[in-house]
Amino acid sequence: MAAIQNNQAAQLGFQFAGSAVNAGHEYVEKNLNRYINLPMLRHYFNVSNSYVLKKIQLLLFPFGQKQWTRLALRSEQTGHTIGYKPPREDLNSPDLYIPVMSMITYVLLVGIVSGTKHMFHPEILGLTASKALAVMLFEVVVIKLGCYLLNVSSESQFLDLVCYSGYKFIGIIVTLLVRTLIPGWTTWFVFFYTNLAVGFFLLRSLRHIVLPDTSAATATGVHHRKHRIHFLFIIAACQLIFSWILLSNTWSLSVSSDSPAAAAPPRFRKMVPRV
Amino acid sequence: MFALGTLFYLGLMLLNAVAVLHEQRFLSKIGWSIEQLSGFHDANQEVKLRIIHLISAIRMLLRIPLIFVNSMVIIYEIILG
Repeated sequence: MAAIQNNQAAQLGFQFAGSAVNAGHEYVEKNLNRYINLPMLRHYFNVSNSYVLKKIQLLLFPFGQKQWTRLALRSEQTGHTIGYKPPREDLNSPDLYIPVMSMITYVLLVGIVSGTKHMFHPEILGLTASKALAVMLFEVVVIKLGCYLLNVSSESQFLDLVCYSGYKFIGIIVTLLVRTLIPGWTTWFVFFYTNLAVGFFLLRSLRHIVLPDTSAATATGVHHRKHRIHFLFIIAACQLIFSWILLSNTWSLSVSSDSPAAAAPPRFRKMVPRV
Repeated sequence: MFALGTLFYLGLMLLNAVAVLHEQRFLSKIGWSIEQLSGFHDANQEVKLRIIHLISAIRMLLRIPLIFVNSMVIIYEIILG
């Protein structure tokens, strides 16, 4: 071993290998940045504990909230607006952390629920994940198409819409948990309530994407505004259909007596008494 | 079961449905042909105008790719469906 370390050629080889690894790393970084905008993704995952708690609370009880506009991030030198503040500093900013985590929780929860009925099969996880992704993709495509048809100047990011379509999983998780713990008509109440809450949340949040100019008071402006408000209400109402699709294959699994919530992630177990 | 594969088929079938609309035989009869568009239009019909543009764009751009994708789906369905 010492002979290798003293050998000049070996030293050269080590150096060369090190630089090759560095070059490879740089290459990957450069190409990854070309296809995926990493700084932008970091913006969406820049969350804090208090933000996540407050956001979940807002998603379940959105009716008391007064302030819905996003805070603008200003450049320190000029004072011009250069974007929006990250979710850590702004409750109304969309984030990707909650959608990703709640989607994974939803997939696992469906697995647990089917496991309590002794109907678990590994395929269920894949099928559920595929269905969840398909519903999200479908919703984003529909919103994009609607924005095109209604001539909404779409400066909104694609990822923003992904965030907003992912928030419905919170309501679905609560519905699933409640249905497993307290069977009966409570499930229906919780199902409609959570959908109402998420629909209301989307109505207020998407307003700033779909209705950018509130000051346009011309005749055509009013006409466009009416169409866009209809579009907003349709999106909010569609949440009910999407939730129904996402919960549809679990309706048939009836409830067992032993509590499956013990296996659920602790964050959501704590939430159950609040609903 | 609504899943990613179903969504892909849904999109493909919808694109096919738009692509088979005939310019003279169908679209011009209901006044949705791109050739009939005059220079001016009133603002109330903007949604219709955009749909017409979308249809003509799909018909023009996606005709050749749709042939390939459709034949691949047909072969897949014959062998593995």
